[in-house]
Amino acid sequence: MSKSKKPTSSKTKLLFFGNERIATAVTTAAPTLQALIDAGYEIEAVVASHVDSISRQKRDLEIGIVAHRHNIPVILLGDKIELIKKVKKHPAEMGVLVAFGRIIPQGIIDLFPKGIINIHPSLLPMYRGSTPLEAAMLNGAIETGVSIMHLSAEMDAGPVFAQARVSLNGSETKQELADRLSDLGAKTLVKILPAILDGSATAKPQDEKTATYSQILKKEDGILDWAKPAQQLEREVRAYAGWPRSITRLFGHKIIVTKARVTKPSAGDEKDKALIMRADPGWLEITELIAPSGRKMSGADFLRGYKN
Amino acid sequence: MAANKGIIITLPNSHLRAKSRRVAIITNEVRQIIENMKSATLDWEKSRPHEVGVALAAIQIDQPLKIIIIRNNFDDKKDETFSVFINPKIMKYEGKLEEDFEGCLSVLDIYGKVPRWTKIRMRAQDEQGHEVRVKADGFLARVLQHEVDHINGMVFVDHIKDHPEAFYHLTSDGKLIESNYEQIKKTHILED
Repeated sequence: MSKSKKPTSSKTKLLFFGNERIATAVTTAAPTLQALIDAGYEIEAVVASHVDSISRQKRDLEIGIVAHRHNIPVILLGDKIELIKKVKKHPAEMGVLVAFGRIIPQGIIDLFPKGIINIHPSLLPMYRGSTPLEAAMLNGAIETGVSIMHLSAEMDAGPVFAQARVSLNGSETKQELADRLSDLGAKTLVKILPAILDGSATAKPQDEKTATYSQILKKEDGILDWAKPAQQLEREVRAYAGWPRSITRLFGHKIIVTKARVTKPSAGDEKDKALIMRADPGWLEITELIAPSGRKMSGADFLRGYKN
Repeated sequence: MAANKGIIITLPNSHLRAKSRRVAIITNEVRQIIENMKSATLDWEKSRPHEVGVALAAIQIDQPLKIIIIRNNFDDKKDETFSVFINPKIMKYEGKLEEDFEGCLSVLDIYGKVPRWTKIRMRAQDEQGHEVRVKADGFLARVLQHEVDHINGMVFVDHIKDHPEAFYHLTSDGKLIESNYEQIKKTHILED
């Protein structure tokens, strides 16, 4: 038998946490996991939240598909103690976490000599918490981004190694923004990871005073409140797409608004053709909706079919 | 038989897949084979700047006898001493299965991540024919399992032939990088 003088591979071992679905009801190509594999890191296992893997759409977790393709074991979350046990079976230099959906206890962070690195899809300390994309969209932010940070036990409060920005034009869908931020996060992480691993990268503490928090979304957040400004409602329609979705009652029918735009009512025939709602202030045109029948249709078609 | 000065045979040579015979009496001829095994290992190593020849089985110099030699120091090429085990048999596998890299003098430039037991117990005879018992763990346990496999007609690639990702190859600058499995298949080393 022969032994290579460097018997262990030069590959750094990582453990991946999360499912890369960085906003509610979005899909992902799991670009971070893929980028880490492509960059030559050895992914010991993928730890994904059990809840997401049995999502109500019954979709397979994309992360699981990528992991399976590369023969990476997937660990599903049980309770905390069990998770520590499971993670211990896959020792790695560092953890990488993208959209895990749960706070990681210090006991798990401590299992990794180099800690856990997190990609958070906002320009920290802005929009800490679980819905940073939705928060940026609801606030009408003109810019957001990704932060690469060292995970600490407090939520999204760890020191930041690197950030990258994207500008928003106010018309992007949540899925589009998620795709852009996912790809940007993957690229930014792979670029800085060697420096983090060899200790040459420095992390800057976040300024606690300017920290803002994104809220956990509730189902009732999706009910359109016509006492809100039209612009706000338009942002909600985009930010709440998929879940919790924007819901309102029209002519006694419960509908789900999927596309809307801020408009001004014009005089004459056109006014009757378009489905335009009064907000406060402003007017919101519902351009696409899901009718009670479950069919997707334009606002104008709905008007023709359901009025009276 | 002793005319064979110790040329190392390599896959796809089918002799490597044959079982070796028990050594009944330690004759001069057997002793000569052991010397040839040692010199073959050291000769091989001279042309391999990034590797250490840590062990050899007699079948690797085309002698189908149950003899293995184990380098006394796996990390220092200057230590040219070996331990000899005749008719070795692994009595017990313990600990757990662990994957690590191993190569073979009979499989050029290919390394594999092979699962092996972390602890074993082995019985054999030494060069004088005395019964010896070996309790090994870590890399030594791996080496012994690899060599006893040879005696049973098995090469390390046979353990991982259905795992394309377990194959690596040694580059000229001494790095192990993932192999192209399809190309390895074309070399016919994975067939019996």
